[in-house]
Amino acid sequence: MDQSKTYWIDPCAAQALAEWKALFAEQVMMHAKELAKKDKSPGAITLDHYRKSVSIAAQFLVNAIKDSGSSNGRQEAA
Amino acid sequence: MAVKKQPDSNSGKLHETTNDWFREFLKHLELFMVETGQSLAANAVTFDLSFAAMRAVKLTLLESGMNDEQIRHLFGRVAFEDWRVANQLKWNAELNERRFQLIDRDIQGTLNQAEQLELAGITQLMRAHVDSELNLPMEGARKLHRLLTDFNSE
Repeated sequence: MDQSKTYWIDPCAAQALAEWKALFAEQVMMHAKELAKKDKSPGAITLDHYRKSVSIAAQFLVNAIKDSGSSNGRQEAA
Repeated sequence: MAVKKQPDSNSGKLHETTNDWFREFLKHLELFMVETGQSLAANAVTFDLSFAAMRAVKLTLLESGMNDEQIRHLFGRVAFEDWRVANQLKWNAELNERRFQLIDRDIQGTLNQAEQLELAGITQLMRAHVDSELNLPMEGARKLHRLLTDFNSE
């Protein structure tokens, strides 16, 4: 691969990435909040809650991207 | 009446609603950056990149419901905030004079963009001074309070 070569990014791809990041963060937050509620001392969301939420959020994101890819071709842009 | 901010018992922690707002802001900011960044050349310098980023910040704030004037005041406040903290800048006659100069030029229509921001920043500083407890007529209020208390006890 030519390391010196630079690339232009399709704006649709850049927009999709911004939305995916936001969706992932939202999902992590949502599941972390649920875990925090179940804790003995609720009220604080910790790094541990975030860590435990990552795999569920990642799977949700993968499915969402697959679904959007089949409906609007955004998967191709990425 | 402006109340002096009390130390927050949760200082060092980020509130959920703040975090939600920031995440939403960040998402829209990134989407606007995709728009403002498209006009930049491959060899854009840091100033161009910063200018496009600030444009995106402005667009995001507009979308959040702020108007142009509010954004100008916000930018002015932020631009002057560090200066204020670093130099412990307090409202003084010199700043008051400068504000009048800028207002005169604004009325004459000769205020440039940097001066508009300076005026917004100085105005914010003045408002903070006016709203501060130090500027309130506390002695007069105390006298009135004493008078009413004595009146009630009679």
